[in-house]
Amino acid sequence: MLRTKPVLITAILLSNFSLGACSHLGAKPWERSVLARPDMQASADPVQAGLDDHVYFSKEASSGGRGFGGGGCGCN
Amino acid sequence: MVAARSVTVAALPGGGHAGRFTAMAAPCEVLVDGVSANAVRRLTRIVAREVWRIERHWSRYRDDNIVHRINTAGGRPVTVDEETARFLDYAQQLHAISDGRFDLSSGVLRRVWRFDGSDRVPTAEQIAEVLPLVGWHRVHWNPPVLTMPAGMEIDFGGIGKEYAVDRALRLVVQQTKAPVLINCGGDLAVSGARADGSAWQVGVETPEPGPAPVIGLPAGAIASSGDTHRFLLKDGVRYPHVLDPRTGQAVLGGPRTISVRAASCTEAGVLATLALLHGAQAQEYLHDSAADARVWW
Amino acid sequence: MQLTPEEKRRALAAATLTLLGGGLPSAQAEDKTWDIDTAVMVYAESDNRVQAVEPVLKGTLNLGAERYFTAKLVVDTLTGASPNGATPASTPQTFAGPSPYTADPNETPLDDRFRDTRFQGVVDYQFPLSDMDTLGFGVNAGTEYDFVSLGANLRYARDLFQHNTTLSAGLNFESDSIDPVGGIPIPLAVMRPASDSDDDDMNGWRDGSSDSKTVTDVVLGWTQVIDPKSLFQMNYSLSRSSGYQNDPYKVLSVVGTDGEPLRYVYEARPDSRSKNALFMSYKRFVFGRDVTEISYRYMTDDWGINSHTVDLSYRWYFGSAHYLEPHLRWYSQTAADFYHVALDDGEESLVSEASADTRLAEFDAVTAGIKIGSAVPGRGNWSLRLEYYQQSPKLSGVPTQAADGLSKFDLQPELSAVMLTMGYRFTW
Repeated sequence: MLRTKPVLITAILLSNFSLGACSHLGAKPWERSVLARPDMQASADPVQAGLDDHVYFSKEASSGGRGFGGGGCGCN
Repeated sequence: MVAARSVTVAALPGGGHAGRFTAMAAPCEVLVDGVSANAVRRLTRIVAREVWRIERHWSRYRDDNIVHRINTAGGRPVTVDEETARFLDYAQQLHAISDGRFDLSSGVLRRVWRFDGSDRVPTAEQIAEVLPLVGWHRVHWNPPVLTMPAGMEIDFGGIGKEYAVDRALRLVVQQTKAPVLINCGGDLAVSGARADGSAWQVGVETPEPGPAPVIGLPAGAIASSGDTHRFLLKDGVRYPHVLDPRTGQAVLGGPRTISVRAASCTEAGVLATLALLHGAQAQEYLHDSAADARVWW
Repeated sequence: MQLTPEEKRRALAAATLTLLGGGLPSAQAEDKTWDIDTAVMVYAESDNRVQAVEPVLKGTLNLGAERYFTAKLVVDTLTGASPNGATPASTPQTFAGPSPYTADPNETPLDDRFRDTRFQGVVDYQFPLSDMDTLGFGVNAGTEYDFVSLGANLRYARDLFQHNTTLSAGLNFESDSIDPVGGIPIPLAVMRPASDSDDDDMNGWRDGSSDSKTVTDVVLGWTQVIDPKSLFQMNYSLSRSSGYQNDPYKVLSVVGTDGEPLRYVYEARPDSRSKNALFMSYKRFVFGRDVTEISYRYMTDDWGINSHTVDLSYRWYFGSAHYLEPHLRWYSQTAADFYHVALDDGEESLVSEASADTRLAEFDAVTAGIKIGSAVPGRGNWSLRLEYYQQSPKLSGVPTQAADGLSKFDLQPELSAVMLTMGYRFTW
């Protein structure tokens, strides 16, 4: 069933990494060059994401997800 | 001592070019990702000029710089320039943080310790004669005026090379957005990851035979300290070129080489030097300091 | 000095930064730079339904010391037709109003009065309060010919554990007012027959000329660096909307047992809506070259709608600075409690809420797309993205007495659309 399969796959993928002891979580300041890449940011392409959000808001009943940082959408 | 003051550019196997020059008695290399040979030459010149400038500024072999004026002041106060003042502030802080192990005035110990591979280890009396001339606590540092007793000397050689690498890097990144690596005799720093996002692959010279181990450096710097080349050997005991300024004695039982990775070459160099000064406790000191380091015994 | 080893290390790091930080001749000392991001999306639904062209222009001014001023302008030109909520009939149907329109037999009625240009502007400022926290606030305004929206937001973020963890909280407030052509219809009132359409006053079915609603959103976020190559993000959001929620142009068909329309009534939704959503995403740098991301969002509200969204993308870098990025999105939602395909004769006096808007129906949707672009550091970068979106509705909300009669019609035609986006981003 289309409805259940994606949820199951996501649950498996997201539970495969375990948030172990806090001392192993994270990166030292000199290890952050990959994380500094533009394509590794939490919101890598905000303009494209805004366009998509507008399309899905007008065709579906849900909206948002990543928060509204960087300016509201006026979509509601 | 005057070395050839020129910059050469060599093609690298696998593409790209390296700019090379000699400074502080070490071969220096500048790598820049994704630019032409001419750009490498231009950027290497900028790096070389800055490294040579620092070398001239603080070399103890010259008679026309601030170090000469300080070391021949005979007890009289000397007013220093802004860059030297900043370095003396730093040295003062390091002296306190390291409980006296880091000491800019420890250079005079070389009068009794000559590391020529022989077995001429100084006696306790010889050390006792020269020890009163060692000790930052005897120095009056009231920025920008430095006053120290006659006969004492300041030596910037300890982390001068690492400092020069860091300063030259900061200068050259204002001239290019391309990733840069500067390496002077194994003390090196990078401006960031390579153009494709990968880490620079750096070979580290170790006392062990075989190919040099490779460390990935996506950012920051690496500095190494060790006694591979200079030591004394007497009755089977190896006296490394690591002298504790508080006792005047060589620090025995320590590692042969330490390589430290840190945000700057200077910080890495200080950690490596301080670790060697902890002798047998070097690894413990590095661990307690959360230092990213490799140690070879 | 009685410091712990960690404190000594921090003192060393700080002292070294001070040593290295001073006195360099600075060529570009106080240069402020603009980061300009522009894009145009062309959206086209199948069967001559909605078409839109949407250009966006956004500029972020870096004022130095992590302070950013952003201004964004979006223009949205819509044309085409959209279902008005009525079901097909065996004979042509005409719908009344300031400009009446007709649907052919057996066709889903489409309202094609949909020519509209929407403008939206956003202005935002963000700045650090300290090394570890930032504050941001913005205002936005949007206008269409029958709709005005004004909003403001406030955001706070705090970093912990050497910037490996970021916790954030945001508040968004929005006030919308709608002033539809012909006024606000009375909910569930009967739509006047087309023959009355030269009555410009529309007596009797106007509740007022305009109405409004307010929306308040709260978002709590947690971003966590897992290791030097991966990032996890989780957001919880709560949204409450109160006021006029209806679409003034949408109706429901009231049908007899034979499935043919007897009359049309304007839709009626509750006057408030509360939504909760949980969003999670994992992003990873893989094979020393590519970036992949997977995310999941669950939404539930007090209209009876639950939805799941799974989004997957993989950015494959070929060559040193160009990439190809395939993208897949699965979406599914349940219908609102008051969603009806149509109403039985007389049912309109029994229900207090009803809507046939397909946005509130039960359906699954899939988006599949591919994007190609450049990613050269320090230079302008372009991108081109083509996506295909398809909704697959599931039948629900069918009125019981008319079910047999309606079964001869295609009650839920599929919606599909193609989206082409071109973007260019550069520093000025």
